[in-house]
Amino acid sequence: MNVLINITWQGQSGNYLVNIDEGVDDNTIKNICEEAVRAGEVPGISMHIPKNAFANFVIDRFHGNQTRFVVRPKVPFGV
Amino acid sequence: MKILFCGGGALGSHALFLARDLEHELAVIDFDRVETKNLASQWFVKQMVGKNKATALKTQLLNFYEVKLQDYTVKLTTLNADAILGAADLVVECFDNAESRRVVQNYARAKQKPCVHGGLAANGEFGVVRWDEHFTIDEEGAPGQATCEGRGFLPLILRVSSSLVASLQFYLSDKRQVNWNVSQRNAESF
Repeated sequence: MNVLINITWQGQSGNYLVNIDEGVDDNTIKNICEEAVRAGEVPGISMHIPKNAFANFVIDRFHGNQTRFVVRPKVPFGV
Repeated sequence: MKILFCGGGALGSHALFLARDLEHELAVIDFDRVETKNLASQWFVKQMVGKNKATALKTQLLNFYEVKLQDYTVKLTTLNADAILGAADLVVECFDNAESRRVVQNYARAKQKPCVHGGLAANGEFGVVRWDEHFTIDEEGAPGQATCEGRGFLPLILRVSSSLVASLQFYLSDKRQVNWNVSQRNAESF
């Protein structure tokens, strides 16, 4: 199915539409994102990201008319 | 409707500032005190340094805008959750630690209480607004980890706070539960 992946990296943000199984595991999603960003396929995010850039990120999954995965840094603070 | 803000720090204080004209009863819980360093990133004036944050917010809203705010000056625990969270119709959670967030989330889920959360990344690059169904509690990092307490984070803090209050307005209007991703460059709702 087509899944819209929203990726945030160091204040930059971009969307990537990909056909994958919605039950795919988190590590696979992170790898897909890393490859897509490096290939320049995610407008809004610089291609120059380090290896395993998203290793400590969290993935939120939203199921609606358009399935959406959000790949984001942890947000522990309301401060 | 009574709206309870859990946490009166960077997000909670600014969200209350922005929510002051909602025609609903407002309350806040925070046991912490205002420190000088908080003036850089939280909605407090210097005269409030040393006061309890909930009481300081009550004083500021009353003095500046004649808006009433109920202040709970205690720490939220499982022991007082029923008395405090149970009295609210809608919960806005902006705590700064996973333990307190869990108290709110567990209670909200057990009692089916509408609850919206706000959170910031440690380095101030990203923030979220999530209705509870979609909220993942992220643990804090190691002690000494960077937080958004210093200078330079206000634009993102205010973006997240205003997105939080916008979500409140949508919910109060027609029960829509709008989530947000907020980065330094943009804010996206869905």
